[in-house]
Amino acid sequence: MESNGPREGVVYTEAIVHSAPGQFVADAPYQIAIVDLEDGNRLTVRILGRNPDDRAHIGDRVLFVEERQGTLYYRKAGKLA
Amino acid sequence: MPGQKRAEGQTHRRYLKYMRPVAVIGIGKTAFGAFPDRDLRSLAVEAIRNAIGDAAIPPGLIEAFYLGNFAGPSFAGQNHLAPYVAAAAGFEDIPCTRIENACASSGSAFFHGWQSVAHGAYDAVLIAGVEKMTSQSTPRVTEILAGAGDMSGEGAAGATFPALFAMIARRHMYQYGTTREHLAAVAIKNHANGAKNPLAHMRKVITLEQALAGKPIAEPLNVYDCSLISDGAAAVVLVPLYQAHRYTTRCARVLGVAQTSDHVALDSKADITVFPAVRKAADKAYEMAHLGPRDIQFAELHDCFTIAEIVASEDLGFVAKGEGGPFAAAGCSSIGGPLPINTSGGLKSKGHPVGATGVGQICDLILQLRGDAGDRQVERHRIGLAQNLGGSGATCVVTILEAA
Repeated sequence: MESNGPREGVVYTEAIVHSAPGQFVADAPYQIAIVDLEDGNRLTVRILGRNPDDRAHIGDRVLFVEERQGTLYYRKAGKLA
Repeated sequence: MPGQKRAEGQTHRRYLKYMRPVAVIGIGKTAFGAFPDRDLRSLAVEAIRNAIGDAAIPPGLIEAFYLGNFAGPSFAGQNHLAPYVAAAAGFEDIPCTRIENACASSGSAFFHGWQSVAHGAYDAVLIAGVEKMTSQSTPRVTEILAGAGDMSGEGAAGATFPALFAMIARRHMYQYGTTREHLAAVAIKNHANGAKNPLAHMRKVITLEQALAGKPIAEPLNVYDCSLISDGAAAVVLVPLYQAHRYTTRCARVLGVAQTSDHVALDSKADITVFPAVRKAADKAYEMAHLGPRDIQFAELHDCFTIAEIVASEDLGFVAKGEGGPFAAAGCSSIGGPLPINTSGGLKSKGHPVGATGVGQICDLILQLRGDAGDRQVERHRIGLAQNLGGSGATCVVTILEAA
């Protein structure tokens, strides 16, 4: 799905969710983050990846990947998609 | 529209001018825990009967009922809860109103009940809080609780409540150097206190090793950083202070109480290590009480997560920003410390039946004010403060009580 929003942001804070709500149980554990976008907006997004290298920390750059069923997916910059 | 906003100080002064002093004359609680054989209504009725009995007030004198409940419709499939509970407790005809403000539901019910007495609408009001949570699976409970956040943004990303507070903890660690050991100190203290509370859900002392090695829930928070999923109810009776002596010789005077609000979504805050709603509620309650943070002798704070107690101790002005972790780790908030916090065990160990928590905190403060807290009794127990938080800071109620 195409998105017209900013493609890039910086991690403001993050957490790894182990105990997930019913609809996301199959995804756990997964990382979420609050991201400061280039346009000044701040959003809560999902960070993709299951390897330790994929994990985004405060201050890391992240790139928009896709939007699926209302969930915004980003990945840490500098990684292959 | 900021241009159209009333001058806040002016409104607040008018509000205080026409207020009469209010007293809590009765308290009642159920035990908090997992009670498979009890339903929401029977828990609420038990707490109400205990409060009416403790107040020694004829039930016919009660003029209004406010019920705090977060998610009865989702947890128990029952709506229209205020008259549903009141009628079962023997109260008919009077206005019965349910108030929902997430985890601050019954703190908000207390605030509105207090207002109705303070401003002369009624001379005797009953306030209760109840939640029945343990009949649902943990993923379903997690989903229902997530509804206290913004479901269009953070909810869609898969942010649970533990995850929101985990993100607050991560940022607090980044900005102020707060550590996992600081968080653990809060858990260890509250478990030690709860172990001495006969009505607590989890009466278990934990060690530092256990607290650090708990099962991860939302990193950096583990199971020992999270409050419990509990069933329970609590109730209080309010009358004007000048009438309190008709019923009891040991009432608690409401010195200050305030309810405030903020955005629901955590990502709408500029700095998530601060809860502006807590600061504003505290400012108003302190002003009403003509007191400051240094006058508070003990407190019940909303430790839905260990980090929440740390942030609240800062936002209430007990310590400077960033000092909440070291304060707890140094034992300053333990029973016997200079400012005991959560002598009941807090939400962490006493349990967190969401809708019952706010009124439960008031009951726990009053046990201390009366000198009835047993092994948990603090030395200085004339003035106590309760802080009840909804969601990730969108509602806050701060109450200051004095033994009268």
